[in-house]
Amino acid sequence: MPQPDTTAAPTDSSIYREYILDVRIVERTTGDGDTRYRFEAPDHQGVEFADPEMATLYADVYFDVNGFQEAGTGEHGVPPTVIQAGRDTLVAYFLTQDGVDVHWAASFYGEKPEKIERYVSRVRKRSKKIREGAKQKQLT
Amino acid sequence: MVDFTRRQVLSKSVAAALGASVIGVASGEEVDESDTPGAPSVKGELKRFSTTAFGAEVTGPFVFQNGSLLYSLQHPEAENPEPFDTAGIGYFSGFQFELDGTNDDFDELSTPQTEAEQRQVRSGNGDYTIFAHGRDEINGGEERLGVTQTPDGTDITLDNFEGTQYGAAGTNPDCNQFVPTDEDGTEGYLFTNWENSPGNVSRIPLRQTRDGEWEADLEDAINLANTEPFREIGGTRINCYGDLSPWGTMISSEENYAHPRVSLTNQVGDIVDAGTGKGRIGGCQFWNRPNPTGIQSAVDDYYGDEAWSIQGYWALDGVEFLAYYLGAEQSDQNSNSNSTEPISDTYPNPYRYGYHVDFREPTADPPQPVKYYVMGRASWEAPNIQADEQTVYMCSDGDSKGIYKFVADEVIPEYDDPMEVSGTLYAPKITNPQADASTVGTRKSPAEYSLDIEWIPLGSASNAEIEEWIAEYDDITQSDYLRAHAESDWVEDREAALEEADREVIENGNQNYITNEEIVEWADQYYAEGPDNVDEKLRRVPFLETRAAAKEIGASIEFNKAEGVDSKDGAGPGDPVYFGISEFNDDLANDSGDIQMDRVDGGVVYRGVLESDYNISTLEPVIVGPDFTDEPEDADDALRNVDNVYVMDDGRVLCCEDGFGGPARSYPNDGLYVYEPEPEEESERNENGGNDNNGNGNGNNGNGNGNNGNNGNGNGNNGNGNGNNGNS
Repeated sequence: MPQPDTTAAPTDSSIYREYILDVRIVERTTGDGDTRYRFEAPDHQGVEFADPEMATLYADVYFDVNGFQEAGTGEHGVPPTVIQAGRDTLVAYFLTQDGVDVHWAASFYGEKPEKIERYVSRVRKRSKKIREGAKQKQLT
Repeated sequence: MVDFTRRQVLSKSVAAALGASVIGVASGEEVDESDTPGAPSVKGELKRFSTTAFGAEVTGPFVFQNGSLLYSLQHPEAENPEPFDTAGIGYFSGFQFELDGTNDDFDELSTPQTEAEQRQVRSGNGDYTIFAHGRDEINGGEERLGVTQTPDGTDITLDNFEGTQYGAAGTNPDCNQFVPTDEDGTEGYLFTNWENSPGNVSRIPLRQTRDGEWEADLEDAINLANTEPFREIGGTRINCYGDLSPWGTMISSEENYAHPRVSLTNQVGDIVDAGTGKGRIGGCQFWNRPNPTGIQSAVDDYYGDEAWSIQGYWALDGVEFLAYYLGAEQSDQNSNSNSTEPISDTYPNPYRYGYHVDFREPTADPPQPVKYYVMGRASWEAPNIQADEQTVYMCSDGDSKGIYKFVADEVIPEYDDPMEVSGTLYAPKITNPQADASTVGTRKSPAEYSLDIEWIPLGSASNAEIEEWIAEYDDITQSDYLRAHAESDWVEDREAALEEADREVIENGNQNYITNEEIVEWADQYYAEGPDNVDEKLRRVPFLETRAAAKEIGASIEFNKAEGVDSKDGAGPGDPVYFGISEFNDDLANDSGDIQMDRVDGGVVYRGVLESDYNISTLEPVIVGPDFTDEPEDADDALRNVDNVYVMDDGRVLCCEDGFGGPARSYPNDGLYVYEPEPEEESERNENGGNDNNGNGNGNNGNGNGNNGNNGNGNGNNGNGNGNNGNS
């Protein structure tokens, strides 16, 4: 699922979602006809997802921790900023990783799936508030 | 898959730009994580005996008469090396507890730091030896261990049926209880729970050889759920932990996580007052919805940004498989997919699940299971039946749940017919002001303040009475969900009918079962007349809708993940009963209810002392887990997220973890710790110091043995989140 954006130029692309501070998700069609959603942000190497839900969740994690860099953390390392942000943010980031779904995360974290979903919900809501707050401060 | 072994300190990118906007943003319903005084701490000594294989939790501990220890290897990661790659039940060959009350009988185990260490079951002494794996052939090849079957003998697995299943069949062994058939306790039957839906309880003949090893006779093992007596009472689901009763039988607890009819802190009265269940309704109200687990995504679609998380909906996994177990035709299945065509012939009755199951004649062929309906319906993790054989303490797992008490009118095994067992069910009320920040003005640490508890009677009845009430809901199917709640003809337009029915249930409740109005009416009569004087037709409410009823009358249904309760065999007045609360957060650390304390994500083990009548009125914290904010030097050796607790005959307590595997620790594995209580004189000092809830706050931060492996070094990380968490 999430892959650093090192692939060839998209055959076709459009903005799937645009956020503040030049953060965006670009939808593109690959040469094989598959659709990919690429998270892009300043000082970020970019990362691609097959599932747009995961792309937007990744963006929410990004805003939740005031941004982070994926590069240099290893293929699937966790940025320290995410680790330090708290359980809900870490779980949300974890879910964006390849092969992790709600049930796997629930098992791994000794939680029930509904709590994993609540973590995700919190991150999404908090991220939305952060963006709204930034807009009010004209940090766009 | 994910590999968290590498981590480097990186610069932040846009933090400076955004920083000012995030100040004051709350993290949700509970208070923020912080460094809580006394977390972690231990009154006594905590010593690590074992760590389990990656992906597994430590569960189902049992100590034989001679001190041998076994536990279940539940859902280990499939890429672990054999034999740790599949679920099983194993014992520690070559080790026995001396049962003299001290932790001197084993060596402290180091923390698992290498991948090889993390992918196996390790112990300070002895070798973990698995004698049975889930799905092993048993019963002469007729069955597979832990796997339920339809009446015609088809294995109920995802290979054979379309739909959801609560964990893959035969992968979740949990509680183990050994019922000996000889005086030495070296030969008998091992009963094991299988936490799936449909659930199962296996019975394996087990004997100890002359050289001290344990041998299982799988050829003669059986799955009790596949026997006719169990099927006749509806079977079982999500068999979690349990207890060995004082009368020497396996008690299997049904952790029916799908029982909540209201989500989290809500009450049924809130729904009635608001005229809608929007934002409040819980999973059980969708029990007989076609494709029941689809309700969450349906609600997300129906309500968009106003959708809410439906508590317990995910535990509707496997309800349809339960229907096939009972003999339903696979009418709702297309090729390779589960449809929303309603199951209309045979469907499980929700009020038949969520109880403690006893096997009163454990050696019979087959034994007759008995469900103790009279002890209430919940997501039971475990009961602890006291030596008076009348008093039972019980933990219901999950968020905004309760610990409960039941007192039988007579000694339970003296009822000739267990269906005649009668008694009173009680819910907890936490009464000391220090537990409530809204009263005392500050959030107290759960490490420093006890909880004073009173027990509120919910109602009295007999098992047979309740079974009659339950039977009134026996023939309700998925068709009835559509018929009762949709105007459209579901035969003509199933999807339209389903949405209409869903919305109607959300607005006005599921009319097929006990209604919201009946629960509110019960509470009104309870307040006016007392628990014993409600209308006859409402007496069922506290037994079949235990959580909803207890909430409605103001009980403290605020516990989070109450996962363990136990006392030593024969415990009497003056002896302790331990309660494991896996996480002290959410409803225990929010701004509502009777408990509004500081948050300790690592959980708390409480100790209550039995009074002369086997009552417990105070819960004293004795082991407090780490905060999420703690570094590995604090968290590595602390008990984090306790699950089962098991009190050995010498008074020590086995504490099993099912933990949050991420930060705070330098390794991802769950462990088994042995708690040695503080000496009695020290205990009395603590008690005096902690009286009047002035805080006792003594703190033995873990065991301080410094046996931490290489935490915090090696790969340049800061300690937390290390480990090979992946399964790629």
